[in-house]
Amino acid sequence: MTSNLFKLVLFLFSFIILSISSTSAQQTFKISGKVKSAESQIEAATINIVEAKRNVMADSLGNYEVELKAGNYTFVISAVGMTTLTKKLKVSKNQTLNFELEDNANNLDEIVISTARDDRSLASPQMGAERLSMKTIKNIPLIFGERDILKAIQLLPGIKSAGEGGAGIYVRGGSADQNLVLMDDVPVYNAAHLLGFFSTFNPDAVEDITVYKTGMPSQFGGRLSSVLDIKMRQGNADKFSASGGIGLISSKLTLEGPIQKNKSSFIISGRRTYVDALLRLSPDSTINQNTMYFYDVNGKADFQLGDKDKLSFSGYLGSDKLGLAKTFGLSWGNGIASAQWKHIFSDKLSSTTTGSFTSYQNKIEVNTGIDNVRIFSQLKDWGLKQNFFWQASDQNLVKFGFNSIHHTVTPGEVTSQGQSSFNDVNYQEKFSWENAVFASSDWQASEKLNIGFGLRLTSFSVLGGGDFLTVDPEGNIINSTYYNKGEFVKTYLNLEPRLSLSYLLNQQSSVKASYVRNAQNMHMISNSTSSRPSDKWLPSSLMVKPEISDQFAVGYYRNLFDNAFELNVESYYKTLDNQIDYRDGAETFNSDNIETQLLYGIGRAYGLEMLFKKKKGDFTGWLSYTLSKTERKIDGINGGNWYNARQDRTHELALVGSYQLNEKWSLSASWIYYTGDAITFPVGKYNMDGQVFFYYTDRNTYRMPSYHRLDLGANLQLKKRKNYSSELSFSLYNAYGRKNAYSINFREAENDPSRTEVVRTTLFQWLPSISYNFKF
Amino acid sequence: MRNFKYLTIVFLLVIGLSSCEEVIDLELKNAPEKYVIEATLTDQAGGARVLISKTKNYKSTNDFDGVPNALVLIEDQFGNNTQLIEMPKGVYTHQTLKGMPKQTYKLKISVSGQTFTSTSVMPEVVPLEDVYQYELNLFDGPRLFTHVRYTDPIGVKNFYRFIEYKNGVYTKSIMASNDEFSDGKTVNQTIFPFEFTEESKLKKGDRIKLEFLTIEEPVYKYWFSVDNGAQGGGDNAAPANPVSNIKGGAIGYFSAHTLQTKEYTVQ
Repeated sequence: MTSNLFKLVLFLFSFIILSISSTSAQQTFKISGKVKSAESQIEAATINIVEAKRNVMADSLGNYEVELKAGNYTFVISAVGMTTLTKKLKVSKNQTLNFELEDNANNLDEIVISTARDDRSLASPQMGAERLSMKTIKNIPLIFGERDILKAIQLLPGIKSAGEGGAGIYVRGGSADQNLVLMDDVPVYNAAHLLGFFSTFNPDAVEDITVYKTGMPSQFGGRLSSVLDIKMRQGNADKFSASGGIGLISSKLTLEGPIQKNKSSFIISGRRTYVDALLRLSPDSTINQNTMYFYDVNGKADFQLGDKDKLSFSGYLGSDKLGLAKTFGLSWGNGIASAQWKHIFSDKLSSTTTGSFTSYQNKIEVNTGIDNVRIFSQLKDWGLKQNFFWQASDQNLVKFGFNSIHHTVTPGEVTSQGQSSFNDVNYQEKFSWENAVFASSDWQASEKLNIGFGLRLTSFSVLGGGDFLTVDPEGNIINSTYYNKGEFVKTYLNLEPRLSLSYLLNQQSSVKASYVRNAQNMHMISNSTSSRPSDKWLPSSLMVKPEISDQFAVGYYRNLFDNAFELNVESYYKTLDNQIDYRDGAETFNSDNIETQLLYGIGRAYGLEMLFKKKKGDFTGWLSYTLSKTERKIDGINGGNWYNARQDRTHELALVGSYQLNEKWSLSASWIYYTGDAITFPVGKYNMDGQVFFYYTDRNTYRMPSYHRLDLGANLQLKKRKNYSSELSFSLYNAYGRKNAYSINFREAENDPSRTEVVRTTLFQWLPSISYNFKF
Repeated sequence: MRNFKYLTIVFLLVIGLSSCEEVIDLELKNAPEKYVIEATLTDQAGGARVLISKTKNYKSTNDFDGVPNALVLIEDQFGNNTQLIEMPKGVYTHQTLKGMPKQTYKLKISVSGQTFTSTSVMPEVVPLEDVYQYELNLFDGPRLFTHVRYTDPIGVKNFYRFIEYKNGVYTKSIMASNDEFSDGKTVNQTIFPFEFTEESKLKKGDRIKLEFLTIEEPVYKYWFSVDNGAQGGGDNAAPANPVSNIKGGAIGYFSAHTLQTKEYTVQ
């Protein structure tokens, strides 16, 4: 097998090499330099050389290099959050040219969707991607007093909210666990606080997010539906500063500054909610004894070691706690640590090496006085990721590398103290080792045609240490084999090709097409409507096969009216393999036998997405619309026939606008509408057990009522002093008080128990919030 | 895991200060009728009871509309058949028939040309040691809960069901448990109310009757899966009918179980 693997890798590289076209022999000159801002270097700046129809990306240290024939050129340098700079240059010799860009965001870091995407997106073969930065994003109304980045992206086409106010998302028909959430290249397993009402990302610590709905670059893998690549901010290497915010539900504080001026910096950012502090004010003893809060802390230190090296360390710690008096407690949280080294070998070759640790744990404590029990579960990853960037030629950027992760899943440990109704239980720990090698090439085949291709070969090894089950289709155990610790139980290999093309029709428009395959070996199955901290990750095993998705997409992109407007239309068709669901009546806690509780099947999703943006002027905003269908077919569910997945929403519309009224005031509004989720309602009822039971037949044939909501926001810039600026943000969630259904339940009618009534529960009918943000 | 449901509620209480419930009108489809069978056999005389009805439109009344004229037989493992007598309409009982622990029983029903069968093994008796009140401080403050004490037999799988009556009225809280975490332990099981309302609180002077059942695994599965939406609530993403152990296309269950009862008055 090893030799086969070797051949594959060889094939993969030769494939890439072949794509490197030779350049013409006419004499060229080398222009190189640095793109930076007044404060620090800029990551990922783009240099568009108009006459040469070339786009050059600066590397993560801001360095760029380009070879040009003699002549006059216009350089247009842009970067997210920065004012675009235009410079003319006559090229007649090799020379160094540095660019300094100005920050165009106001002093406070806020989120709104990027209104500054430049024309380079037309030429790039990348599709289905959207980058949002905390800086350029100006105004969208706050939710619960926070500008939550995972909620902001829900306003884009193809990305759906998993529920009222929630940070959980469904991308192009995928499930909530099929999104790869990366915080500085390290996977985050539970991206939600407080049952999903907040995301784990403190807005003050986030630099930007890039969402890939398709065409994931081959360095990303391991989830079927999307990649959410979140970059954390690096500290200001020039001067100390502090910023923070005080809101109704939470407050936060960020400190940053140089460790050694202009060479190294730190940033530390903390956030805590105080819902429980409010609870404590309640005179009602039934309420004031409960606990409910979360906190998180982000820290990062960056060291610039000479011109060629940069070292970063970052850490995250977050935890949620819910408690009922002293009787019942639930806590969960993520802990992440990583070290990253960026190195420039030469003008053409650079590398990024990341070593990381990530854990997610969940603890339940019950103390009734009779029983004192603690249930603990955990997921732990050690990872190493190596990326190389090689500018093979002016027309060809090659990325390659590998990724290795060791997973340890502790599904459940039950311990009790003193006399107790419970035995101590230790469910079998699950070990696995995930590896990937990848390579990709972005090749400018001609002036109009850009091709991106990549390959990713992944292996997932189920490692021993315990019993491994074989289960028949009825869920009966037919075999159980013991494997020693460290022994290879099974290795799954998957080859994931990625291909994308773009063709410039003219200066204003392009068409693109792409195909991507993804494999997923860490699975989370959830049968509840809310995101629960008790939802567990399950690695592939003898019975649980890797999930596979194939996605085809085509798109049309057009800039209008001198780039003041932008129109994107994309359509996709996606198939999903080895999808997992619970059997009816599954007991999901017993992890040793979890495979007896599972069913497997397939899925498909297709749709049309449209995004129309106004990018310039005092009034900016966008309209996004999605028409889609998402279905599953699982043996043992719905008679083995296709059924609508819960997240199948036919229409989804978002209208977002912001208006800069004057220097002080800016206003914003967003309105969303979507078809209600597919849901199973009873088709009848019957008497059982001296009460009424409801009778169900087909899965998800009903719809929740349509959902729509208007949010309003306003920002007031308070008087600026020399070293201090502050701002007040007001928002009103659900401004016209639409009673959207959070759940619909059936029960005996209160005034006539012989009848049944339907009850709709609405959350958040009007929810005002105010927060004060400062920076000095 | 039931606790989790309550936690969700707490959260909603706090964050969703503006959350509200409202009765709405909903048009539901009609499905073809299906037979509903609720069949029990206990280790006590008169415990054999089979109720036969049909599913109905959700807008109709909640009354029990029994299906008459069925042939209902219970067969023991020696091949002896006992026919249950219809009294009243749709309810089939027997005055003397009782089951024995460790024996297998077969239920056979013929009605309007359709046949339904099921088998159930009556588990062994696990002595009920005590039924008592105990105060716990959960999300709505201190509240009395009925607790049940028994000692789980070690080394075998056991399944239990608890039925609570307050002043002679069934509380509708469906509680079933297994010994996955408590094999061989002395267990103090908390009986949770169907809903955490003021009404459901146990008050001084309330007469509590507790039935303690040992049930077999498929029957446990049935009661466990009632949580999947059979009672009309919850936040299950995929409501389904409880997992039945009846063959022939009816919904419901057949349970051969042992039964012990204890009463107490709330102090």
